[in-house]
Amino acid sequence: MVELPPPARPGKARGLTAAIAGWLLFIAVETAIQVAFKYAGATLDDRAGLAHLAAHALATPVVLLGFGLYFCGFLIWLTILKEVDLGRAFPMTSIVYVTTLACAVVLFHEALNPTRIAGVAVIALGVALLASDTGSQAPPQDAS
Amino acid sequence: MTALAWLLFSLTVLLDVLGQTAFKLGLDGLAEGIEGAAFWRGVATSPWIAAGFLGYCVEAVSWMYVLGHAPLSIVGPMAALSYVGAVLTGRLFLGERPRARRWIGAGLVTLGAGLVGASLG
Repeated sequence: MVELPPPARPGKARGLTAAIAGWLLFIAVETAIQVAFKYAGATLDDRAGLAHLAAHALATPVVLLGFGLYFCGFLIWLTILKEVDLGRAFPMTSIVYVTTLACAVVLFHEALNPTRIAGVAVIALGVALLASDTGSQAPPQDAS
Repeated sequence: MTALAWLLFSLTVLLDVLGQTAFKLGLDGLAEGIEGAAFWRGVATSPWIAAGFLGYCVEAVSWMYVLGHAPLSIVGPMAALSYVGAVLTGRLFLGERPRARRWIGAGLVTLGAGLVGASLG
């Protein structure tokens, strides 16, 4: 009796593919921001104090790249939120903690130990859990 | 990690939490339902949003110093403590009523951050 309108399914699939692609891009950009700032922090001269560090930072390409990526990440995030509920999109960003850890090991040769790996796993789980609660208990206008 | 690096790490997290809270207070203070140019004019003239932005500028410099003096695998994950701070300021200053799930998540982030900090040995 009920027929699905043919364009609905391909449209939905396209939306989903776009959301997954957007999410992968977002994770990559967020990870790159951490790497850019780490690289900047490790190479900038801060012996003359924080004000000098700030002035030096604004003239350093990798810092400007970091800020540019930050802005791109913001735009990608807004695009994702147009397609996906915050309660689904936000918890999935906690994977950034895993990718950043991988970059710390591969790019900056940091050594891991079991305590640190366990700690990062607990943090990622905690962020995913708190991010999945997007509602509020009390206000009556909030449909739960 | 030096005491200064830990101090500036705490400052970074604190400024992040205060900045987010200030942005939210500023946006909540804008007139209901304004859009387009009027919205952006409201954003540009809000003292809360200006204060949050200023905090973010200081935070960026502080964060760069921290990253220059600490392993990314330590301070990167521990920066998630700002989520815990945001849950607290949401409850205290923004009238939010987090469900149990959000409190448990905040507790896990705190526990995990403690583990990561302790792993520095």
